[in-house]
Amino acid sequence: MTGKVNFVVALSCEAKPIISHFNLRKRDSTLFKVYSNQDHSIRLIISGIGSSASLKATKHLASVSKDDTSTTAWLNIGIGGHKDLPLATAILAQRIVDSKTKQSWFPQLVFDPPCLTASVKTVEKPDFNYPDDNVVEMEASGFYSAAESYSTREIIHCMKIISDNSQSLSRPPLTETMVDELVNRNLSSIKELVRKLQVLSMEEEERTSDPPFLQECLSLWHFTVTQTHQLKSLLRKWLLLQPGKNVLDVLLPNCKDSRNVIQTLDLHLKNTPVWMDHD
Amino acid sequence: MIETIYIESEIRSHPRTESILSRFSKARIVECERYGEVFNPKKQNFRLQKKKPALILARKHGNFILDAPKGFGIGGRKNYYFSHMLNCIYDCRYCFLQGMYRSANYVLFVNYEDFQNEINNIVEQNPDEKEITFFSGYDCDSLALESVTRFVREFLPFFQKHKKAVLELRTKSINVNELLNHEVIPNCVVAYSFTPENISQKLEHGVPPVKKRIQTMKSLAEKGWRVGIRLDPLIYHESYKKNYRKLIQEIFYTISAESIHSVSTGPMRFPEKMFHTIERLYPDERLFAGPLENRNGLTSYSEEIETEMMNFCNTILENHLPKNKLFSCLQSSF
Repeated sequence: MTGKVNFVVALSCEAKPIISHFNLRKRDSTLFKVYSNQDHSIRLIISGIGSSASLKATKHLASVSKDDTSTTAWLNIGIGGHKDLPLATAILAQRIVDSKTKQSWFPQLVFDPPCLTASVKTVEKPDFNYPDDNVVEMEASGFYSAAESYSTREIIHCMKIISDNSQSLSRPPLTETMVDELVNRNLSSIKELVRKLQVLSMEEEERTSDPPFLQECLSLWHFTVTQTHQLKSLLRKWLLLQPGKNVLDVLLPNCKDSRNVIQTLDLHLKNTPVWMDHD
Repeated sequence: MIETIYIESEIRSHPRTESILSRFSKARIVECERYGEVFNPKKQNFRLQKKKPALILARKHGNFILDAPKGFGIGGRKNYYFSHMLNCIYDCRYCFLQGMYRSANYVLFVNYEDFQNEINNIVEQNPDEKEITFFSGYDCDSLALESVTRFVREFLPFFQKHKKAVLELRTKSINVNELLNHEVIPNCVVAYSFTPENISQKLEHGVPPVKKRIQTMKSLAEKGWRVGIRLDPLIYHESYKKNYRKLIQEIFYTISAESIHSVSTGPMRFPEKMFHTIERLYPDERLFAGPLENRNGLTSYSEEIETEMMNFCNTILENHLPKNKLFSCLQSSF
């Protein structure tokens, strides 16, 4: 298990350093540009600008990630403005508020962030007034509301890199090269964040993975959906109470059907003594 | 320890909020409108959040004092509980909180006065009752986060004035300076929860060792505080008889029986749905692979095992204490 991370990025110039660093290749996709590494553990989609585009792209990436997305970490990377944070500063969102709906999301920081944290406000149009202490940008709320349908708040995050502030307004407008450079300068923070998210994603993969012998049982007997749930639970218990023993050899060789398998396992486990560690 | 503090905007300037913030100058402060925005959303993972829980400061708006569940009591006729805090710094694998809440963050309600007013109202509404018990450690550990909450510091003087109201502080914490430095009040019971040492090491993550808890109880008892013992939940395992006997003997070897206000025992029970949530969070936990069954909407050991364990422990306890100090907590609802 490696842990999976899905990037949602608005612009190609923001994505370029990430695509290059993680060695991502363009995949077949009609609606959006989608990239992934060889084992598809890291994917990236280019959403276009705006909350609505980000929402659609996030949903699209989930739909093309054919495996279970509940353990996948999601990361929105982009640029944003702030009244006084220095240019090229990376921040991780601690709160995201949608300026139109006023809805808020609170990404849960269960690891040491690799950069500063700040509140992020998603606006519909570029806003250079910086009325409060939020980082202002245009995608986070759409991204977060969609990603939340698939994963949990501990592994969905937004990183924003400051591209403009109240002192920078007199400077020439941002070019693609400048945006590429802003992301490039923060690649070490992005890499660190990805590593941390991969660890959490991997832990979740392990927690939710099928117990040993499940596939073998499913191929030998026919189980209904309810029976499959029962079987999973019983095989997990088997693993805990009879570690290292092959249930197919030890207990189930004479079972005729799925009902018989479940009854045999259930009865055996009920009569197995529970030894705790240091018992 | 606490790196992120969420604060409801409404109580940003509350004196208790300011006092707490002054002790966490480096914490990340995030404002929210209502604590439920952070605490209640569906897509949260209790197990992951336990890695680094945040503190949420909030105001409670009602239901300050609730009837204790049936079967929950230590001798009084009227039993209530209240939760100034939700969740616990410890991580006990048998705890129902991990299935009760979606978030492992600690919610602290800073409007202590509203809880106190409600206790006062209940006492006044029951002039004929000699004693009304208020349990404080139902949704949290009463003492474990005292350095942040100052709960004991603020509630002891209140109960000192309301002698008919009995306060139970239920805890596994050895952080009892506040109690040791305070004048003893007879209407407060400091109740310690225990499982045998080997089970504690396996299931009670982050909890002080059993020996230290017993020593702490001893210091409190010697100071004059009434102490309680809570063997709740009783954990079934192959050597439970040997291990519970040893635990009970160790407690009574260290603490004089006269100091003990009450002992309660209770079986491990979860509402079925709650159990499934917890089992999914910790599929690698051997405790849940034990001989559990579903009965009347609850997941528990079989009636036979429950009775056997309760009888076994109560028989040993009866060697040390009169029966009127022994209570069985057969909680049937949460």
